[in-house]
Amino acid sequence: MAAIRHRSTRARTAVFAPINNLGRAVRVEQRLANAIWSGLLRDGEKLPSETELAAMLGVATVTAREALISLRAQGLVTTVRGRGGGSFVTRPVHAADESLKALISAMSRVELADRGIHYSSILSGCAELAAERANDDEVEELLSIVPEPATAGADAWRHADTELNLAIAALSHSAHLTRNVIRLEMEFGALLRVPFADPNSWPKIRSDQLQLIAAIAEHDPAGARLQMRSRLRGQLGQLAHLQAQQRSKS
Amino acid sequence: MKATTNELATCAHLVEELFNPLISQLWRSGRAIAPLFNQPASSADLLAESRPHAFEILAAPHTVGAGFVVTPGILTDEHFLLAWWQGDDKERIPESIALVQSTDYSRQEWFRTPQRTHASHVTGPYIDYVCTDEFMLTITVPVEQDGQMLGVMGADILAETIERVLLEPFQEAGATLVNHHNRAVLSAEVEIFAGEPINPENFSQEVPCADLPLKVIN
Repeated sequence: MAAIRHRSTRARTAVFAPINNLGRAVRVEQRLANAIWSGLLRDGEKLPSETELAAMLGVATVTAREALISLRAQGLVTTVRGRGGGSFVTRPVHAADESLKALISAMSRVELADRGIHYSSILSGCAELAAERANDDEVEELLSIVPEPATAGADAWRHADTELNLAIAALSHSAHLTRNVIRLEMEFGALLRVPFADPNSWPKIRSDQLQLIAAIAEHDPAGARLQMRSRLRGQLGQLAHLQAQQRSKS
Repeated sequence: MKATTNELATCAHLVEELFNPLISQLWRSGRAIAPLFNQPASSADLLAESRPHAFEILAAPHTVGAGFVVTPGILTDEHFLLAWWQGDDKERIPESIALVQSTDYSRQEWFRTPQRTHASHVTGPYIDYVCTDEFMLTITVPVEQDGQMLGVMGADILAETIERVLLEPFQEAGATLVNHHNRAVLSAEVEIFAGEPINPENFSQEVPCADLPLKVIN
């Protein structure tokens, strides 16, 4: 509450805050942490070295190091020394789920709906454009992202669903829109996919993905938009139920 | 789960308790400000006169914004003026924002409806892009003199505040609060979010909230 009431002042302060290395380290850390939680970076994946990471992100090596130290402290990264060593993604799945659940439970329903509407509107627009533009090869690529029915593990389903949305966003042929979707996937996609922990949800996730790709393959923009919207509305509903359960527990 | 009409009435009563004291306060402030227009008034006059009233309304437990919005064209200097303050630090809405300065608010529901009905009104939940960009309910009463509306006296409440204050009792009753456009304000149904359209056919009971364009349904 207080946070919202102070927004105008806080936003102004943020605009004029000095962009120092500390602020950058936090931003690097948040970006990587979100990517790990959302499944964009896979469990066990090797991260670029400190120097490479610094160059890629355009920050000082010391900043990248600082971010990695913090990620290590959170248990999201493990560093192995020596030959073949480096920093590896170690996603403490259950711990991450628990902290995401705490986040969901702390959100108001108004905020949940607000985020859901934003996410769904952007992605529905992407689906519409993808249906206009995708060629046969690109449709094949989308299909290759859909997990086999026997795929086990919530992470695999989460990762595939994230990747499918990003691939569809890329088919909009707008770099701005795609970057927007990447940000949304990190901010909200990770929350939306917490309910994927339930294996009973997987067949429906898969059939929704296939219907969506079918509409894109048929160059049916209105159908693709509708499929994307209804599948995300379903996911938002599941998240709302999870939130209600979390709250009645506490 | 079907609630009794009694439980719905209890919910309606809670809604009335939240809004109606505020509405009384708005009428009082409006009546106090109206005599300012007995002679030509400038924007500075109106700001000075409105400020203490707005602050008093902001001191009420659930409000995030309050003030007087003048009928366009009746001030001696500015055409539009939002004498409006918001937030914990009671800041005046930013005058520097071009959008705020140039927005013709006379088409907004919170201005137009009290002008037409001569009665208090609750608008929303809606995104208030003129002032806060937040999901809000705005309560306005007309401030009139000799049949002419001088402006509206109003207050903002966040949709989130309504949720925080009323969700529990509504959940206990399995009730939904809807506005006169049949949009949800608050619902015990997990899959009905604030702002979503409600099909009245899916609900069998309703209790109106006294003096408010809101009703409790189930």
